[in-house]
Amino acid sequence: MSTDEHIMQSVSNGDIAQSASLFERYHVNMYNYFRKMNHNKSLSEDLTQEVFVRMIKYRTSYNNQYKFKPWLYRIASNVRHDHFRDQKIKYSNGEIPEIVSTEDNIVDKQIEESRKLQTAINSLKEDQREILILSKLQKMKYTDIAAIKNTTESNVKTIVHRSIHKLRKYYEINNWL
Amino acid sequence: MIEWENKIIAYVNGDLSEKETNTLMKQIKVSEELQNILKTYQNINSEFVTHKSEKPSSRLSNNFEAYIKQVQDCQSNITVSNKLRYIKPLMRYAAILVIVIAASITLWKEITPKESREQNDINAILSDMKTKSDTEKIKTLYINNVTEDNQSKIKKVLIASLKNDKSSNVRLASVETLVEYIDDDLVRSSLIRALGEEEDPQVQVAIIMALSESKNMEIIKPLEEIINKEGGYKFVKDEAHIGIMNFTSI
Repeated sequence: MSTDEHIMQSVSNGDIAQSASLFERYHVNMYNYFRKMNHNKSLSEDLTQEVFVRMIKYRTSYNNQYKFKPWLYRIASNVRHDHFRDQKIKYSNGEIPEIVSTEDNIVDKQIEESRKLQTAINSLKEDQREILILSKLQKMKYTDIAAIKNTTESNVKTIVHRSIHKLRKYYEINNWL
Repeated sequence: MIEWENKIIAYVNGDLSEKETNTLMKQIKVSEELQNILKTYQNINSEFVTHKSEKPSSRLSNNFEAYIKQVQDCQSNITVSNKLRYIKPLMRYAAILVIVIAASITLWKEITPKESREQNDINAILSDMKTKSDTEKIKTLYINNVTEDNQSKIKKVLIASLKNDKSSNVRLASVETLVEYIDDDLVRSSLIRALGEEEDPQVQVAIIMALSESKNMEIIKPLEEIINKEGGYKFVKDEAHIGIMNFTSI
């Protein structure tokens, strides 16, 4: 199976059809990244679409010396930033979004736990939230997150640790532990 | 305590070395508080582990497929457009070449063959006239239906008849018709030449009268030659003299 980098190089060379493979590999994760960041299903789909549109649009800027995934998520981070800058929408800390179950509002224990986690994550500052999602939900390495956020690996690790600490405090305050 | 909690966070997150982990475990064993802290962080971490990702709707995939197709179509158009960019100048040159060739053909048809056709027509008329009687020839030469298109042809037939026909009556008829075109250089020069060659006095008088109609100086010399010519008919010389007089009195 071709690597992401190899496929992206083909796309960069003009084989646009190959971008469908990358979309297939990453669109669900990308959607969930946005979903956790903004809690809006339709908007998350639109932003995911925008990421892959930009991937094609800026394909020639891709350098196969670097990993594809951080490059794609850097685009995603910029897409999200651009969207909220344009819309002047900023989620305030502590805002609890309405969580709608995809299974006819049947709230079982798992969904309830998921809602708590999401609410706790939402209490974090925007940068903390993004880095935590990338690390814990997108399962990305600190070094890749550092590349996306243009910072150091140790800084990313510190932010992750602080964010988890904040989550525990949030759980504690809400007696969810 | 905060320092140990940070180590627990790092441990749960998988960021501790083996040595640091061993040290932390020894401390947790003897501290119930740290055990509780560890448990809470493990619970939170398990939420991340068990967290299920959501699937987007098919709209996302459909839209992206449509976008790819659109980009590919656009690429194809650009490719065609690029090809056309190189082909267009060639097509332009080809079109110019075709126009030039067509114009040349038209011009060739309009000019060269026209002259050729005219000469063929003249030859045909003259050839036909050879088979006719003098009366019929004269009738032919007194042409009424002169148009701009056939005028040149008629003049040439008349000049040819004046020069070549054996019958003085036919030559006379030619002169009488050529008078109509006395201002034409070809007609006038043909009449002047004919005056020098013509031996029939009636035709000579007709030519003198025709040339007298012209206001061109070049007729004086041939008229003087008629006057000064030894021999010759007196009435011809008189007519030449009248012609010069008419000309100089103007």
